[in-house]
Amino acid sequence: MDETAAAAAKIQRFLIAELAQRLEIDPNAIDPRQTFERYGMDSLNALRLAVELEARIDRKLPTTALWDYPSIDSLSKYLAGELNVREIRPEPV
Amino acid sequence: MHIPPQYRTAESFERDFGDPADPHSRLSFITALERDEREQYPSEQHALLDSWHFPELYIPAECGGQLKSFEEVLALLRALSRRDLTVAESHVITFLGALPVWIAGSDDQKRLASGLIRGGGKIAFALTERTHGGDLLANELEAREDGDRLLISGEKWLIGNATCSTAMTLFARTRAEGGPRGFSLLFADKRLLDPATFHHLPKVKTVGLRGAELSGICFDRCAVPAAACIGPAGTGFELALKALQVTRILCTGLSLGAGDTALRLAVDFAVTRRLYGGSVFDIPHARSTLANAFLDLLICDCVAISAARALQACPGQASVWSAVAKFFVPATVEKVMRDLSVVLGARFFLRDGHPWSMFQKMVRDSSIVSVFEGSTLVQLQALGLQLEQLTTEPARPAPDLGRRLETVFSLRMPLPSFAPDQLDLFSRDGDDAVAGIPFLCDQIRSATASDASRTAMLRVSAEQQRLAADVRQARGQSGRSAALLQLAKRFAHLHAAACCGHFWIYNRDILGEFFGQEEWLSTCLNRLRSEDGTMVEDGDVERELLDRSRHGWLFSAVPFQLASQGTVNG
Repeated sequence: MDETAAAAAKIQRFLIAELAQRLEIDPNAIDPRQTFERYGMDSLNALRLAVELEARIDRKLPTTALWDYPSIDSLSKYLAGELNVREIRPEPV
Repeated sequence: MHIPPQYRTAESFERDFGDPADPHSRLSFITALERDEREQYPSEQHALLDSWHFPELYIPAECGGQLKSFEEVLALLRALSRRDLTVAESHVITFLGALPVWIAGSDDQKRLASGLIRGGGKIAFALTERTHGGDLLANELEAREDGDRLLISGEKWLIGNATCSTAMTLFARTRAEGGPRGFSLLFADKRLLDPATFHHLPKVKTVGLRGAELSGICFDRCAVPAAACIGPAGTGFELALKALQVTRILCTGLSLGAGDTALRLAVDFAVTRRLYGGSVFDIPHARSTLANAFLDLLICDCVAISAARALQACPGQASVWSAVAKFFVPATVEKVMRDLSVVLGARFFLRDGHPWSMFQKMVRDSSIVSVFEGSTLVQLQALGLQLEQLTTEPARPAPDLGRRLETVFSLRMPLPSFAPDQLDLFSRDGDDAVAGIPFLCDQIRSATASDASRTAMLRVSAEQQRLAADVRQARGQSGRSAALLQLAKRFAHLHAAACCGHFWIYNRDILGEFFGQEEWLSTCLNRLRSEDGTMVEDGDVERELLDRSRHGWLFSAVPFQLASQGTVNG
């Protein structure tokens, strides 16, 4: 597995855990290929999540990133590939 | 008093169109009332505006027009709206229709739109549908690819100028599954469409704006070229929301114009009407109601003017400034009118009897402003979504915050050209007006010896802290919960208070003696704190009100010269 794919996999695990925590469900119940919308995130909340993510990756992330990459799978690949993100910092307490 | 140059266009409009109370003026109250009774479309009045080159202000300077400053457009809309909201609303729709083209259109589309506007044509903005209201992503009208063209099928309803427009900006589903990337905006020249594939729907009867044309349009496999798409396919939802950020700010000019006429009529009435051996103005409650209405308009003004400037100064924050302005200004003006109707007594209810009957027309006409282009509730939801970011104080204030505040609020500061590519649906930078409150407290402390202003400002600062804590506690609440909307409302009031303070700090030496003294400021800040607005009895405010009425100065932080002659005698 190359570095980008490894980063994408790591980001994917992180996003699954994050989403599971927000939704208060079992991480195993989350299918990364399903859309965020399927998990109850409407188009406006997707903007908010993009801004929250941006603050944790030191990269400029379009506020509409989750509209263009509407699943955990596609978003992880975009972050690791095009934006060269290696990890997402945990949210400050 | 120094009226900044961006208000000269509105002043010259006033001179050219004269006093609307004069039946012989070009846009008089009496003809507005007569047309309203007949529910007649204001075509002649539009022709007057067109020959005055009013539509040049709808075309950006880089496309050959005169649109350089949204603040200037806001002032002009106000001067027009104070005469007749029906004329104003049905004319300015073209600006809304063209905005997506200015923001994201091709050079060809920009040429087409500006040529059409110059030729007196109208552009409608066909966004909503009969069964979906503000739920844009549920819209059904579709544009299906068919080779190098798109085939449109479906209906748009409650569309201003749907029938009389020459062209139309159309919100269409371009991906069957929909979603935020499933819609596009199309710019369709109706003259080029096959008439067999579309028809207009009848004008809908309305309570206000009775002469305007609110109708609809129905398409059945109507072909437009693929190049009709504004910007890349799938960006229609984003583009529509960005265009609305601009128009939600500018439409406050409609409310403010209506508010000015309502207050002017009420003052005239109160001064001339004799009751109980004196004038209505001699009755303390009536006098205080008028003075408080004036203060409310001043608050609205600080919110609206700064929002119009923010569109150019900090376009990335427009999602916040537009939501506050659209939430706060129309609803406050509606409340002002309700308050003023008490002073007018039965006159507020009469459709007969010039000039007071203009009051009821203004009430009816302006009541739609808080509903269209995203209702008051939609604005609170938009703020609710961003509340955490908006109320979290950054570890370090942005180093250039002072300069940014000065650019937004100082009417002397030149503004950068509008950069539509910097509009964003979520403000990464929060809200400069509210972020600047600690800064503002320091400025007010050094600028005034008045305890009233200092104390009022400290209370604003305390509310900022409280709100931040309450928002943290409400974390995780759904964006539509009543509790979160209440917090959003508090935020809007906080933003309004901050705008009043900043506005005073940066303009107190240019906007005349009344504005320069801080009494109005502390009174307004206190008024914003209480839900029903603390009533004040203040001789200075009352005197200023009479002065402005007498001299025909706008009831505004920027009291430019109107063509109106008040009936108030010395």
